[in-house]
Amino acid sequence: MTTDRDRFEELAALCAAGAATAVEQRALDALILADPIAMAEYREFCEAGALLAEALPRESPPAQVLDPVRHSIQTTSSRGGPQSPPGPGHKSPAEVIDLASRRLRRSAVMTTASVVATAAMALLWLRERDHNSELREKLAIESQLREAQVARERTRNAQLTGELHKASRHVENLSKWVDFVQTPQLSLATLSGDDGPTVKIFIDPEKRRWLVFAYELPSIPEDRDYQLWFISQQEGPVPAGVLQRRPDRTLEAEITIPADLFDIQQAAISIEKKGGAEEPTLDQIKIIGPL
Amino acid sequence: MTAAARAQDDRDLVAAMAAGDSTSALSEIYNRFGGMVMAVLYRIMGSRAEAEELLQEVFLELWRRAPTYDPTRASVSTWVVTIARSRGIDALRARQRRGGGRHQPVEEAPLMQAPEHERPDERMATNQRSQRVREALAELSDVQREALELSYFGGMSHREIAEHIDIPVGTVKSRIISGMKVLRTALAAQGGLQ
Repeated sequence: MTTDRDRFEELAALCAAGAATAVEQRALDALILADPIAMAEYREFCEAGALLAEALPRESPPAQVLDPVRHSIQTTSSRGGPQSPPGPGHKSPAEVIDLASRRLRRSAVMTTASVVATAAMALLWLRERDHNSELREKLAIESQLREAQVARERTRNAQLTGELHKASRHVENLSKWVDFVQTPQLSLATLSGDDGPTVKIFIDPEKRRWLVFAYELPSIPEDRDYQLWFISQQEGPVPAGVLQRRPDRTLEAEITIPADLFDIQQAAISIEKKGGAEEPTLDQIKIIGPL
Repeated sequence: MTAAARAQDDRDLVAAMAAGDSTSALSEIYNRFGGMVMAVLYRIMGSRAEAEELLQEVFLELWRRAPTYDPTRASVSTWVVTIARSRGIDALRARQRRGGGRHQPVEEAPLMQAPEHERPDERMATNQRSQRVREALAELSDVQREALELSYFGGMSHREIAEHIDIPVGTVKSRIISGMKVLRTALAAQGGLQ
Protein backbone atom coordinates (compact mmCIF):
# COMPACT_ATOMS: atom_id res chain seq x y z
CA MET A 1 0.00 0.00 0.00
CA THR A 2 1.40 3.36 -0.99
CA THR A 3 1.56 5.91 1.80
CA ASP A 4 1.74 9.67 1.45
CA ARG A 5 5.37 9.42 2.45
CA ASP A 6 6.12 6.92 -0.28
CA ARG A 7 4.24 9.04 -2.76
CA PHE A 8 6.23 12.14 -1.78
CA GLU A 9 9.57 10.35 -2.11
CA GLU A 10 8.53 8.92 -5.44
CA LEU A 11 7.56 12.34 -6.77
CA ALA A 12 10.64 14.04 -5.34
CA ALA A 13 12.99 11.42 -6.78
CA LEU A 14 11.36 11.48 -10.22
CA CYS A 15 11.32 15.28 -10.34
CA ALA A 16 14.91 15.63 -9.15
CA ALA A 17 16.00 13.13 -11.80
CA GLY A 18 14.08 14.99 -14.48
CA ALA A 19 11.92 11.93 -15.17
CA ALA A 20 8.60 13.24 -13.90
CA THR A 21 5.65 14.07 -16.11
CA ALA A 22 4.09 17.53 -15.94
CA VAL A 23 1.28 16.15 -13.77
CA GLU A 24 3.75 14.65 -11.32
CA GLN A 25 5.73 17.89 -11.21
CA ARG A 26 2.58 19.83 -10.33
CA ALA A 27 1.69 17.30 -7.66
CA LEU A 28 5.10 17.71 -6.06
CA ASP A 29 4.87 21.52 -6.24
CA ALA A 30 1.58 21.29 -4.35
CA LEU A 31 3.14 19.09 -1.68
CA ILE A 32 6.22 21.23 -1.00
CA LEU A 33 4.57 24.61 -1.33
CA ALA A 34 3.41 24.84 2.28
CA ASP A 35 5.74 22.26 3.83
CA PRO A 36 9.29 23.45 4.60
CA ILE A 37 10.36 19.97 5.62
CA ALA A 38 9.19 18.51 2.34
CA MET A 39 10.92 21.40 0.58
CA ALA A 40 14.19 20.58 2.35
CA GLU A 41 13.89 16.92 1.49
CA TYR A 42 13.25 17.73 -2.12
CA ARG A 43 16.35 19.88 -2.06
CA GLU A 44 18.35 16.87 -0.89
CA PHE A 45 17.07 14.90 -3.87
CA CYS A 46 18.02 17.73 -6.20
CA GLU A 47 21.51 17.96 -4.73
CA ALA A 48 21.83 14.19 -5.12
CA GLY A 49 20.75 14.44 -8.74
CA ALA A 50 23.31 17.17 -9.34
CA LEU A 51 25.97 14.65 -8.41
CA LEU A 52 25.33 13.07 -11.79
CA ALA A 53 26.51 16.32 -13.38
CA GLU A 54 29.36 16.80 -11.00
CA ALA A 55 30.56 13.30 -11.82
CA LEU A 56 31.01 14.12 -15.48
CA PRO A 57 34.55 14.57 -16.73
CA ARG A 58 35.22 18.27 -16.97
CA GLU A 59 35.24 19.78 -20.43
CA SER A 60 37.51 22.75 -21.01
CA PRO A 61 35.25 25.71 -21.76
CA PRO A 62 36.23 27.89 -24.69
CA ALA A 63 38.17 31.06 -24.02
CA GLN A 64 36.58 34.47 -23.85
CA VAL A 65 33.01 33.24 -23.59
CA LEU A 66 32.31 35.92 -21.02
CA ASP A 67 33.12 38.86 -23.31
CA PRO A 68 30.00 38.42 -25.44
CA VAL A 69 28.05 37.60 -22.25
CA ARG A 70 29.18 40.91 -20.75
CA HIS A 71 28.38 42.66 -24.00
CA SER A 72 24.85 41.23 -23.82
CA ILE A 73 24.59 42.24 -20.18
CA GLN A 74 25.63 45.81 -20.98
CA THR A 75 23.20 46.11 -23.86
CA THR A 76 20.23 44.28 -22.37
CA SER A 77 20.45 44.28 -18.60
CA SER A 78 19.07 47.12 -16.51
CA ARG A 79 21.15 45.92 -13.58
CA GLY A 80 24.12 48.23 -13.01
CA GLY A 81 27.34 47.37 -11.29
CA PRO A 82 31.05 47.88 -11.19
CA GLN A 83 32.80 47.35 -14.47
CA SER A 84 36.48 46.52 -14.67
CA PRO A 85 38.55 48.72 -16.96
CA PRO A 86 39.78 46.96 -20.06
CA GLY A 87 43.06 45.16 -19.45
CA PRO A 88 46.02 44.91 -21.79
CA GLY A 89 44.69 41.80 -23.38
CA HIS A 90 41.18 43.11 -23.52
CA LYS A 91 39.45 42.94 -26.80
CA SER A 92 36.34 44.84 -27.68
CA PRO A 93 33.20 42.71 -28.02
CA ALA A 94 33.43 43.17 -31.75
CA GLU A 95 36.93 41.73 -31.83
CA VAL A 96 36.41 38.58 -29.81
CA ILE A 97 35.17 35.29 -31.14
CA ASP A 98 31.61 35.94 -30.31
CA LEU A 99 29.47 32.83 -30.44
CA ALA A 100 26.31 34.85 -30.13
CA SER A 101 27.42 37.07 -32.98
CA ARG A 102 28.35 33.98 -34.95
CA ARG A 103 24.82 32.73 -34.44
CA LEU A 104 23.47 36.13 -35.35
CA ARG A 105 25.63 36.12 -38.48
CA ARG A 106 24.38 32.64 -39.29
CA SER A 107 20.88 33.90 -38.74
CA ALA A 108 21.63 36.90 -40.96
CA VAL A 109 23.00 34.56 -43.64
CA MET A 110 19.87 32.45 -43.35
CA THR A 111 17.75 35.58 -43.56
CA THR A 112 19.71 36.81 -46.58
CA ALA A 113 19.40 33.41 -48.20
CA SER A 114 15.71 33.45 -47.47
CA VAL A 115 15.38 36.95 -48.97
CA VAL A 116 17.39 35.92 -52.04
CA ALA A 117 15.28 32.79 -52.42
CA THR A 118 12.12 34.84 -52.05
CA ALA A 119 13.40 37.40 -54.56
CA ALA A 120 14.32 34.62 -56.98
CA MET A 121 10.90 33.10 -56.61
CA ALA A 122 9.34 36.53 -57.08
CA LEU A 123 11.46 37.03 -60.22
CA LEU A 124 10.43 33.62 -61.51
CA TRP A 125 6.84 34.45 -60.68
CA LEU A 126 7.09 37.78 -62.53
CA ARG A 127 8.71 36.07 -65.54
CA GLU A 128 6.06 33.41 -65.45
CA ARG A 129 3.39 36.09 -65.14
CA ASP A 130 4.84 37.98 -68.17
CA HIS A 131 5.10 34.75 -70.06
CA ASN A 132 1.50 33.95 -69.18
CA SER A 133 0.50 37.46 -70.19
CA GLU A 134 2.19 36.99 -73.60
CA LEU A 135 0.50 33.65 -73.97
CA ARG A 136 -2.84 35.19 -73.09
CA GLU A 137 -2.30 37.95 -75.69
CA LYS A 138 -1.32 35.38 -78.30
CA LEU A 139 -4.33 33.28 -77.46
CA ALA A 140 -6.57 36.37 -77.66
CA ILE A 141 -5.16 37.27 -81.10
CA GLU A 142 -5.46 33.69 -82.28
CA SER A 143 -8.98 33.59 -80.94
CA GLN A 144 -9.85 36.80 -82.83
CA LEU A 145 -8.27 35.41 -85.99
CA ARG A 146 -10.19 32.18 -85.56
CA GLU A 147 -13.43 34.10 -85.01
CA ALA A 148 -12.78 36.18 -88.15
CA GLN A 149 -11.98 32.99 -90.03
CA VAL A 150 -15.16 31.38 -88.74
CA ALA A 151 -17.15 34.47 -89.76
CA ARG A 152 -15.61 34.31 -93.24
CA GLU A 153 -16.38 30.62 -93.44
CA ARG A 154 -19.96 31.27 -92.35
CA THR A 155 -20.34 33.94 -95.02
CA ARG A 156 -18.82 31.64 -97.57
CA ASN A 157 -21.08 28.84 -96.43
CA ALA A 158 -24.08 31.11 -96.71
CA GLN A 159 -23.01 32.07 -100.22
CA LEU A 160 -22.45 28.46 -101.14
CA THR A 161 -25.75 27.53 -99.58
CA GLY A 162 -27.45 30.26 -101.59
CA GLU A 163 -25.70 29.08 -104.73
CA LEU A 164 -26.61 25.53 -103.89
CA HIS A 165 -30.24 26.48 -103.43
CA LYS A 166 -30.08 28.41 -106.70
CA ALA A 167 -28.49 25.45 -108.40
CA SER A 168 -31.07 23.19 -106.85
CA ARG A 169 -33.82 25.38 -108.13
CA HIS A 170 -32.15 25.42 -111.53
CA VAL A 171 -31.84 21.66 -111.51
CA GLU A 172 -35.43 21.49 -110.42
CA ASN A 173 -36.43 23.70 -113.33
CA LEU A 174 -34.33 21.67 -115.68
CA SER A 175 -35.98 18.57 -114.34
CA LYS A 176 -39.33 20.14 -115.06
CA TRP A 177 -38.09 20.94 -118.51
CA VAL A 178 -36.88 17.45 -119.06
CA ASP A 179 -40.14 16.13 -117.70
CA PHE A 180 -42.04 18.38 -120.05
CA VAL A 181 -39.83 17.61 -123.03
CA GLN A 182 -40.27 13.92 -122.48
CA THR A 183 -44.08 14.37 -122.71
CA PRO A 184 -45.16 12.77 -126.03
CA GLN A 185 -47.99 15.26 -126.73
CA LEU A 186 -46.00 18.35 -125.79
CA SER A 187 -47.03 21.42 -127.77
CA LEU A 188 -45.77 24.97 -127.77
CA ALA A 189 -47.78 28.15 -128.14
CA THR A 190 -46.14 31.52 -128.68
CA LEU A 191 -47.86 34.82 -128.00
CA SER A 192 -46.38 38.14 -129.01
CA GLY A 193 -47.21 41.62 -127.75
CA ASP A 194 -47.10 44.96 -129.49
CA ASP A 195 -43.85 46.29 -128.13
CA GLY A 196 -41.80 43.12 -128.36
CA PRO A 197 -42.77 40.93 -125.40
CA THR A 198 -43.16 37.26 -126.13
CA VAL A 199 -44.77 34.43 -124.22
CA LYS A 200 -43.92 30.77 -124.75
CA ILE A 201 -46.42 28.28 -123.37
CA PHE A 202 -45.46 24.60 -123.22
CA ILE A 203 -48.62 22.57 -122.98
CA ASP A 204 -48.85 19.04 -121.62
CA PRO A 205 -52.41 17.99 -122.45
CA GLU A 206 -52.03 14.60 -120.83
CA LYS A 207 -51.28 16.02 -117.41
CA ARG A 208 -53.19 19.23 -118.08
CA ARG A 209 -50.37 21.55 -117.14
CA TRP A 210 -48.65 24.55 -118.68
CA LEU A 211 -45.16 25.84 -118.38
CA VAL A 212 -45.10 29.52 -119.21
CA PHE A 213 -42.16 31.80 -119.98
CA ALA A 214 -42.62 35.49 -120.70
CA TYR A 215 -39.84 37.60 -122.17
CA GLU A 216 -39.28 41.36 -122.36
CA LEU A 217 -42.35 42.37 -120.42
CA PRO A 218 -41.84 45.90 -119.06
CA SER A 219 -40.97 46.42 -115.41
CA ILE A 220 -43.90 47.04 -113.08
CA PRO A 221 -44.23 48.54 -109.59
CA GLU A 222 -43.59 46.33 -106.59
CA ASP A 223 -47.28 46.27 -105.71
CA ARG A 224 -48.19 44.80 -109.06
CA ASP A 225 -47.94 41.34 -110.65
CA TYR A 226 -48.27 39.99 -114.17
CA GLN A 227 -51.20 37.62 -114.11
CA LEU A 228 -51.96 34.84 -116.63
CA TRP A 229 -55.50 34.21 -117.76
CA PHE A 230 -57.16 31.20 -119.46
CA ILE A 231 -59.78 32.45 -121.84
CA SER A 232 -62.52 29.89 -122.30
CA GLN A 233 -65.29 30.17 -124.78
CA GLN A 234 -67.87 29.41 -122.14
CA GLU A 235 -66.27 30.78 -118.95
CA GLY A 236 -64.56 33.83 -120.33
CA PRO A 237 -61.29 34.85 -118.53
CA VAL A 238 -60.33 32.47 -115.75
CA PRO A 239 -57.42 33.33 -113.39
CA ALA A 240 -54.43 31.02 -114.10
CA GLY A 241 -51.93 32.47 -111.62
CA VAL A 242 -49.31 35.16 -111.36
CA LEU A 243 -45.95 34.96 -113.08
CA GLN A 244 -42.77 34.83 -111.01
CA ARG A 245 -39.79 36.90 -112.04
CA ARG A 246 -36.57 34.99 -112.56
CA PRO A 247 -33.08 36.45 -112.09
CA ASP A 248 -32.69 36.85 -115.86
CA ARG A 249 -35.79 39.06 -115.74
CA THR A 250 -37.80 36.34 -117.47
CA LEU A 251 -41.21 35.63 -115.96
CA GLU A 252 -42.38 32.11 -115.51
CA ALA A 253 -45.25 30.11 -114.13
CA GLU A 254 -46.14 26.49 -113.83
CA ILE A 255 -49.85 26.13 -114.19
CA THR A 256 -52.24 23.29 -113.66
CA ILE A 257 -55.42 23.59 -115.64
CA PRO A 258 -58.59 23.34 -113.56
CA ALA A 259 -60.28 19.99 -113.98
CA ASP A 260 -63.56 21.54 -115.10
CA LEU A 261 -62.05 23.78 -117.73
CA PHE A 262 -61.87 22.22 -121.18
CA ASP A 263 -62.39 24.74 -123.93
CA ILE A 264 -59.45 27.06 -123.50
CA GLN A 265 -59.09 29.05 -126.69
CA GLN A 266 -56.73 31.82 -125.77
CA ALA A 267 -54.34 32.99 -123.06
CA ALA A 268 -53.67 36.53 -121.91
CA ILE A 269 -51.31 38.35 -119.48
CA SER A 270 -52.35 41.54 -117.69
CA ILE A 271 -50.95 43.74 -114.95
CA GLU A 272 -52.93 43.29 -111.77
CA LYS A 273 -52.70 44.03 -108.09
CA LYS A 274 -50.14 42.04 -106.06
CA GLY A 275 -51.23 38.45 -105.77
CA GLY A 276 -53.65 38.61 -108.67
CA ALA A 277 -57.28 39.51 -109.29
CA GLU A 278 -60.55 37.68 -109.98
CA GLU A 279 -61.23 39.66 -113.13
CA PRO A 280 -58.69 40.99 -115.59
CA THR A 281 -58.19 44.73 -115.90
CA LEU A 282 -58.87 45.08 -119.54
CA ASP A 283 -56.75 48.15 -120.21
CA GLN A 284 -53.81 46.43 -118.55
CA ILE A 285 -53.73 43.37 -120.80
CA LYS A 286 -50.29 43.30 -122.35
CA ILE A 287 -50.40 40.09 -124.36
CA ILE A 288 -53.25 38.01 -125.63
CA GLY A 289 -53.40 35.38 -128.33
CA PRO A 290 -54.70 32.01 -129.43
CA LEU A 291 -53.18 28.72 -128.38
CA MET B 1 39.32 26.33 1.69
CA THR B 2 36.86 23.93 3.25
CA ALA B 3 33.82 22.72 1.38
CA ALA B 4 31.58 24.80 3.60
CA ALA B 5 33.71 27.93 3.08
CA ARG B 6 33.75 27.31 -0.60
CA ALA B 7 29.95 26.90 -0.66
CA GLN B 8 29.62 30.20 1.17
CA ASP B 9 32.04 31.77 -1.27
CA ASP B 10 29.86 30.53 -4.13
CA ARG B 11 26.82 32.14 -2.58
CA ASP B 12 28.70 35.42 -2.16
CA LEU B 13 29.66 35.38 -5.81
CA VAL B 14 26.04 34.92 -6.85
CA ALA B 15 25.04 37.74 -4.51
CA ALA B 16 27.68 39.95 -6.12
CA MET B 17 26.32 39.13 -9.55
CA ALA B 18 22.84 39.92 -8.31
CA ALA B 19 24.22 43.29 -7.20
CA GLY B 20 25.52 43.98 -10.68
CA ASP B 21 29.09 42.68 -10.71
CA SER B 22 29.48 41.47 -14.24
CA THR B 23 33.26 41.32 -14.14
CA SER B 24 35.05 39.64 -11.26
CA ALA B 25 32.08 37.75 -9.80
CA LEU B 26 30.92 36.52 -13.18
CA SER B 27 34.50 35.55 -14.08
CA GLU B 28 34.93 33.63 -10.84
CA ILE B 29 31.62 31.79 -11.28
CA TYR B 30 32.76 30.92 -14.77
CA ASN B 31 36.10 29.69 -13.52
CA ARG B 32 34.45 27.53 -10.92
CA PHE B 33 31.57 26.10 -12.91
CA GLY B 34 32.43 26.63 -16.60
CA GLY B 35 34.01 23.19 -16.95
CA MET B 36 31.07 21.45 -15.28
CA VAL B 37 28.50 23.39 -17.31
CA MET B 38 30.41 22.55 -20.46
CA ALA B 39 30.47 18.88 -19.43
CA VAL B 40 26.72 18.83 -18.78
CA LEU B 41 25.96 20.50 -22.10
CA TYR B 42 28.35 18.23 -23.95
CA ARG B 43 26.79 15.15 -22.34
CA ILE B 44 23.28 16.31 -23.27
CA MET B 45 23.99 17.50 -26.81
CA GLY B 46 26.73 15.05 -27.74
CA SER B 47 28.35 17.87 -29.72
CA ARG B 48 31.06 20.14 -28.48
CA ALA B 49 30.16 22.90 -30.95
CA GLU B 50 26.54 22.98 -29.78
CA ALA B 51 27.67 22.81 -26.16
CA GLU B 52 29.94 25.83 -26.68
CA GLU B 53 27.09 27.82 -28.18
CA LEU B 54 24.85 26.98 -25.25
CA LEU B 55 27.55 27.70 -22.69
CA GLN B 56 27.32 31.41 -23.37
CA GLU B 57 23.54 31.35 -23.00
CA VAL B 58 23.81 29.50 -19.70
CA PHE B 59 26.12 32.09 -18.17
CA LEU B 60 23.98 34.92 -19.43
CA GLU B 61 21.01 33.22 -17.78
CA LEU B 62 22.95 32.71 -14.56
CA TRP B 63 23.62 36.44 -14.54
CA ARG B 64 19.98 37.28 -15.15
CA ARG B 65 18.65 34.83 -12.57
CA ALA B 66 21.21 35.64 -9.88
CA PRO B 67 18.82 38.07 -8.09
CA THR B 68 16.27 35.27 -7.67
CA TYR B 69 18.75 32.66 -6.41
CA ASP B 70 17.50 31.23 -3.07
CA PRO B 71 20.29 29.55 -1.07
CA THR B 72 17.71 27.69 1.02
CA ARG B 73 16.47 25.81 -2.01
CA ALA B 74 19.72 24.73 -3.67
CA SER B 75 23.47 25.04 -3.45
CA VAL B 76 25.06 27.25 -6.07
CA SER B 77 26.48 24.18 -7.75
CA THR B 78 23.04 22.55 -8.02
CA TRP B 79 21.51 25.85 -9.13
CA VAL B 80 24.09 26.16 -11.90
CA VAL B 81 23.63 22.52 -12.96
CA THR B 82 19.85 22.91 -12.96
CA ILE B 83 19.99 25.94 -15.26
CA ALA B 84 22.58 24.33 -17.54
CA ARG B 85 20.61 21.09 -17.74
CA SER B 86 17.38 22.96 -18.42
CA ARG B 87 18.99 24.92 -21.27
CA GLY B 88 20.58 21.80 -22.67
CA ILE B 89 17.37 19.75 -22.58
CA ASP B 90 15.47 22.61 -24.25
CA ALA B 91 18.08 22.75 -27.03
CA LEU B 92 18.00 18.96 -27.38
CA ARG B 93 14.21 18.95 -27.74
CA ALA B 94 14.40 21.80 -30.24
CA ARG B 95 16.90 19.77 -32.25
CA GLN B 96 14.62 16.74 -32.10
CA ARG B 97 11.69 18.84 -33.34
CA ARG B 98 13.87 19.88 -36.28
CA GLY B 99 14.43 16.22 -37.05
CA GLY B 100 17.75 15.84 -35.26
CA GLY B 101 18.66 12.85 -33.15
CA ARG B 102 17.78 12.12 -29.57
CA HIS B 103 20.18 12.15 -26.67
CA GLN B 104 23.27 10.17 -27.54
CA PRO B 105 25.56 9.78 -24.54
CA VAL B 106 29.16 10.52 -25.24
CA GLU B 107 31.59 7.76 -24.57
CA GLU B 108 32.05 7.12 -20.89
CA ALA B 109 35.09 8.87 -19.48
CA PRO B 110 36.76 8.80 -16.10
CA LEU B 111 34.90 10.57 -13.36
CA MET B 112 35.49 14.16 -12.52
CA GLN B 113 39.00 15.49 -12.67
CA ALA B 114 40.06 18.94 -11.53
CA PRO B 115 40.63 21.33 -14.41
CA GLU B 116 44.23 22.25 -15.03
CA HIS B 117 43.61 25.98 -14.59
CA GLU B 118 42.29 25.69 -11.00
CA ARG B 119 44.35 27.09 -8.13
CA PRO B 120 45.85 24.50 -5.73
CA ASP B 121 43.26 25.14 -3.03
CA GLU B 122 40.46 24.95 -5.58
CA ARG B 123 42.00 21.85 -7.03
CA MET B 124 42.02 20.29 -3.60
CA ALA B 125 38.38 21.16 -3.01
CA THR B 126 37.45 19.85 -6.41
CA ASN B 127 39.30 16.64 -5.78
CA GLN B 128 37.59 16.23 -2.42
CA ARG B 129 34.21 16.69 -4.04
CA SER B 130 35.30 14.37 -6.81
CA GLN B 131 36.08 11.68 -4.32
CA ARG B 132 32.73 12.17 -2.65
CA VAL B 133 30.84 12.00 -5.91
CA ARG B 134 32.79 8.95 -7.04
CA GLU B 135 31.88 7.14 -3.88
CA ALA B 136 28.24 8.13 -4.22
CA LEU B 137 27.97 7.00 -7.82
CA ALA B 138 29.70 3.74 -7.04
CA GLU B 139 26.64 2.81 -5.03
CA LEU B 140 24.45 2.82 -8.17
CA SER B 141 23.74 -0.34 -10.12
CA ASP B 142 24.16 -0.34 -13.89
CA VAL B 143 20.41 -0.32 -14.53
CA GLN B 144 19.89 2.53 -12.05
CA ARG B 145 22.70 4.48 -13.70
CA GLU B 146 21.21 3.87 -17.16
CA ALA B 147 17.76 5.06 -16.12
CA LEU B 148 19.16 8.15 -14.40
CA GLU B 149 21.41 8.92 -17.37
CA LEU B 150 18.46 8.86 -19.77
CA SER B 151 16.28 11.03 -17.56
CA TYR B 152 18.86 13.52 -16.35
CA PHE B 153 20.84 14.01 -19.54
CA GLY B 154 18.39 12.65 -22.10
CA GLY B 155 15.44 14.69 -20.87
CA MET B 156 13.20 11.62 -21.04
CA SER B 157 10.25 11.02 -18.74
CA HIS B 158 9.90 7.58 -17.14
CA ARG B 159 7.37 6.66 -19.82
CA GLU B 160 9.73 7.64 -22.61
CA ILE B 161 12.52 5.68 -21.01
CA ALA B 162 10.26 2.63 -20.73
CA GLU B 163 9.54 2.86 -24.46
CA HIS B 164 13.19 3.55 -25.25
CA ILE B 165 14.60 0.50 -23.50
CA ASP B 166 11.43 -1.56 -23.76
CA ILE B 167 10.72 -2.33 -20.13
CA PRO B 168 7.63 -1.61 -18.00
CA VAL B 169 7.09 1.93 -16.76
CA GLY B 170 6.91 0.67 -13.19
CA THR B 171 10.34 -0.86 -13.52
CA VAL B 172 11.79 2.40 -14.83
CA LYS B 173 10.22 4.39 -12.00
CA SER B 174 11.50 1.89 -9.50
CA ARG B 175 15.05 2.12 -10.85
CA ILE B 176 15.03 5.92 -10.87
CA ILE B 177 13.54 6.25 -7.40
CA SER B 178 15.88 3.69 -5.89
CA GLY B 179 18.86 5.26 -7.68
CA MET B 180 18.00 8.70 -6.40
CA LYS B 181 17.61 7.36 -2.87
CA VAL B 182 21.03 5.75 -3.15
CA LEU B 183 22.58 9.05 -4.22
CA ARG B 184 20.76 10.97 -1.52
CA THR B 185 21.87 8.55 1.17
CA ALA B 186 25.45 8.61 -0.06
CA LEU B 187 25.47 12.39 -0.15
CA ALA B 188 24.12 12.62 3.38
CA ALA B 189 26.61 10.08 4.68
CA GLN B 190 29.51 12.10 3.30
CA GLY B 191 28.62 15.37 4.88
CA GLY B 192 25.48 16.35 3.13
CA LEU B 193 24.78 19.79 1.85
CA GLN B 194 26.90 22.87 2.26
